[in-house]
Amino acid sequence: MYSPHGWRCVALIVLLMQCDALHAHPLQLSLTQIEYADSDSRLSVSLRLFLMDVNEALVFDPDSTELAFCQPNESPDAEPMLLAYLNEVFFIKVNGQRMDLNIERKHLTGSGIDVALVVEMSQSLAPPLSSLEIKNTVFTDLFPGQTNIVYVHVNGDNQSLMLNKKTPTHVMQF
Amino acid sequence: MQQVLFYLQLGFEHICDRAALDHLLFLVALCAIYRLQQWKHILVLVTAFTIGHSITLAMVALGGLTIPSQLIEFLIPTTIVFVAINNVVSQSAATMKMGRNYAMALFFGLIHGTGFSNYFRALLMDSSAVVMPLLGFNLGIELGQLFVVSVIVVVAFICLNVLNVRQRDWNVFVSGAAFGVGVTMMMDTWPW
Repeated sequence: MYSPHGWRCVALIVLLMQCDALHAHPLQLSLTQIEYADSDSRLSVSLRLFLMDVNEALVFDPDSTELAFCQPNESPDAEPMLLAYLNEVFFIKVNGQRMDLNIERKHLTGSGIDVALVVEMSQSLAPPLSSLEIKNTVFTDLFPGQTNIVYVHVNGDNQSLMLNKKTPTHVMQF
Repeated sequence: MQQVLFYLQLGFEHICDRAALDHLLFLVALCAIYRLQQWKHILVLVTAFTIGHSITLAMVALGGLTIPSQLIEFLIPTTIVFVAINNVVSQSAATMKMGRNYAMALFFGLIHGTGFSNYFRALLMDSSAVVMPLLGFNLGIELGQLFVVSVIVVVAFICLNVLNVRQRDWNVFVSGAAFGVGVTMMMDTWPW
């Protein structure tokens, strides 16, 4: 009865089944939180990165257990590889000076495919904080739709930024 | 206010993004049997879907409900497949029992809400201040949903009223495509 249209639908379905883009959508994002208060004289930075994305970026396999971040058998290469990657794609310039990235603590959070690696860094900073320049292109080469969200809390002033391949950096004046 | 607007933008972009194809396809399938003239039905249906997903989005975001993300990712395409089959079996909006359709939109909205909440939770660095981000995000989802439905209705109007495609053919075409994509997604996200 509907055979011509039926065949068209079948053809369309077969065509669509070939398309990789139809997989359930992953969460292509990372979070960064930057905190500073004159009273603490310390700039703290936390990065939350999906572990699958970290593995994809560092060892080209999202399901790899080679680096084993935050596990008892964590590879000695894991942290240096992560820092080397971050130094390529991420920086914070404080009053015009690039902050040294040193991992103070890290831990895993979440479960299943949503496990995220949280990396914490900080440095002492005497007031005043007059400018912050943030570049974040984490995973944008891997995923064109990657969004890197940055939450900035400076002396009670809160701002939220969305950085991506198109807009990788943002400068804030205080 | 900046915070609400920021999350509103994230919500809007989330549902309008090509990567949110599962949610988009559900809306497409949901509207497939309607003509522009039946905009009131569409509005009520979309409202039922909105109520459903707002409930679970809030419940998950506020910590009252936890559902494994693998299960959510599988259930969402299941709703697409179910609606597509229902469209073809019911044949037209005239023969479809509207009460059942609204109940279905509400129930499936609950499932899609868990999917939205999965994304929403991933946006939060600090889970203690949820209310304002949740408000902005949900508003963004609603605005994005209205935009998507408007586009779908306009495309349907062009096909049905300008190109004179028969309603039944349009329904089979759209529902068939949604069914095929939905089944593919179900196979990709099979959790067991």
